[in-house]
Amino acid sequence: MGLLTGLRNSIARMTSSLFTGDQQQRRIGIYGPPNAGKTTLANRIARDWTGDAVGPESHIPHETRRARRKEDIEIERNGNSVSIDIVDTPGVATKVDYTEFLEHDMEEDDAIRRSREATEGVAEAMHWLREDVDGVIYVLDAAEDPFTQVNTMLVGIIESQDLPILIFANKIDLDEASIQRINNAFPQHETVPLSALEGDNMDEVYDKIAEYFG
Amino acid sequence: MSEAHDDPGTDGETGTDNDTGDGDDIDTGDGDDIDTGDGDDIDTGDGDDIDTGGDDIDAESDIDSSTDTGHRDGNADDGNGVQIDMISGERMDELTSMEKIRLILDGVHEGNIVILEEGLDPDEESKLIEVTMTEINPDEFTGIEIETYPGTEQQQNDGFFDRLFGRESRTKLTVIGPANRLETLHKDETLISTLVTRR
Repeated sequence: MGLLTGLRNSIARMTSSLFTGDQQQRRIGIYGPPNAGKTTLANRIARDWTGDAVGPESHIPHETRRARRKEDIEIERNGNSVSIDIVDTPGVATKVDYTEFLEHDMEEDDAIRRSREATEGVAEAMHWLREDVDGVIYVLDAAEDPFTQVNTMLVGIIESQDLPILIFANKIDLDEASIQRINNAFPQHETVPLSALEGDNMDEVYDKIAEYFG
Repeated sequence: MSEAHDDPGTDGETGTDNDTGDGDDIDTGDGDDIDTGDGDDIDTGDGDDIDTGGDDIDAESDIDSSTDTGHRDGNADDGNGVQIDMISGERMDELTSMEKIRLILDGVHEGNIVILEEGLDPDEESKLIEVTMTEINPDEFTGIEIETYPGTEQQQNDGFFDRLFGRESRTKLTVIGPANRLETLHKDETLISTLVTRR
């Protein structure tokens, strides 16, 4: 992590703590492109600490089309307890083409409805990012090229708001996964490898959540 | 790659025809091959191929990139080319955030490629995504393709006080177009290669 960026993130966390007060529930947005595994991660965190799930998972893009908040998640680390709300958000994109859903054996009417809901969901996610989250977990599919415009723009938007940000390299259980590629794309941020589906490396995930958002 | 037709409204009807007519085409000149594997080949004519896997476009004969900024009556996109609006940082500086977004999206809705000399700031990018989403229509507009060079080390290190006092360095050439007409073939820190298709 770059020295200046690291310093800035530390100041952001400290400032956030000063103004929100340690007792206030932090809302942590789970952001990323479609199909990165955001809902799978949200479900993994929620199930581990509350026993409930947040929402349905699917391999079809834009399964999550409304931001969903799971409140009062108490994460215990090293004898301390960190309380957060997690907000699972729709995958952010600059385009939504309903014909892509047809490739998943979807009827045209359903595909059009899904695309309409997806566009509303992306707009909603952007609004949450500007107004309503106190920190961000940015989830990337480690098997995909992280060097996309959406990723570059979103990370830039999050940085511009001085929100603490953790980058999660998800799907490390896949053969094509490359954590180094994500490190190279965003060297200014700490990258945590994990598989939300398999539950790999979740101890480090919770350590980092407590460190960054506690 | 394409022909620039009507002026995007920056200088009115000058009637000036700047068609260089020199037959020069796309030449990346760097010896790199780019293979996107999706079916279309672009031969840049200099021995360096952008190989996308199928149909060949030979820049020497098939792509006319000669610049024609002269006025033509009627629709800028008459089916024979793609309009490219290159908007200076100076022009954008005079506009509010929403005016910038409107200028961009109005151009994109018309099928134009919009190139910003200095790009948008992160808040404007956020609003651009949000407004784009509200305007997507399944049968007419599927969204935008946008590409910028990644932030420089300087931009990444711009701190809170730099932004507070307007010292943020934000110069970053940005290309925006309709998602169904602009396809990114390759992108890295120093090169953005895109394919622009006609309607």
